[in-house]
Amino acid sequence: MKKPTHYIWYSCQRATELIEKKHITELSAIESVKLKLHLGICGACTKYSRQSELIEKLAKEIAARQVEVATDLLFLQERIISKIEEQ
Amino acid sequence: MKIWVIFGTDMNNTPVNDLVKSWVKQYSGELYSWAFYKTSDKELSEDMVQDTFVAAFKGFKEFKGESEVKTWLYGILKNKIADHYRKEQRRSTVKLDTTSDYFVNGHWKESESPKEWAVTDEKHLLDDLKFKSVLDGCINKLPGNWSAIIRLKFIDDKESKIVCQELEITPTNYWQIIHRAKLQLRKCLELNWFAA
Repeated sequence: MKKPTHYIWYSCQRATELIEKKHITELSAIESVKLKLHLGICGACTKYSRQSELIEKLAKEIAARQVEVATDLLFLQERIISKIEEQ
Repeated sequence: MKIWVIFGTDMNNTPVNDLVKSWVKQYSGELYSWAFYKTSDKELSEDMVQDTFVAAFKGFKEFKGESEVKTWLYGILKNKIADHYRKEQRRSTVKLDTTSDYFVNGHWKESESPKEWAVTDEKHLLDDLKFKSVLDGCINKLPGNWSAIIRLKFIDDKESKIVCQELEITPTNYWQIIHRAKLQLRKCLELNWFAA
């Protein structure tokens, strides 16, 4: 039998999983409440949550800053055409 | 001219060769941009665009003009990009940390428990070249499938369902990879930057 605390209390491992899940999809009402409850008393996971969010923001920003590296289009076209002619 | 007659089986009686060449002129630029956007790799993008046109040339008979040329070409390129990510995923031998590296019976291991980060100027962190190189280093240490996920998830802002389809992984696998990669990335940043 599971411990009665299982029903209201997430382990840190589970809580951090749900923190990641939250970035991608909505949590169910129960998940959301249980996660809040956990974060209310767990300092380590609260830090994890803040840091995870920061990493998320950084990754998005990197993606947004990515600039296209131009190709020499004429050269590429010639290369492709001669490749086609080889076929 | 004789060769043209043999090849000249398309609907306009234009030699296939010339037709595909005109597509190269017309579409290679935008196909390249798209491939680059998906992979951030110049040479790889050029090769994939080239392979797309070669495949279009070879498979010309299958193109019956039912879809637009552009759509057809994008379709070929899209498959090439997905193949590339799948290959990279298979080739990847670097292992992600497992959750048991971080947790015992569901609790943080004492050594792994997150420390407070001193973040002073969050908005301009990425302008700090030293930080940027630490972050790049941490991301590069992750196995290939995580970089594929990062790319699809953040750059394309794709829904997880589509990321799973493109990489042929199950949703459960996707969660596990994201969770473990995040644990690893967090730890790396803490050790090399925030705690240093």
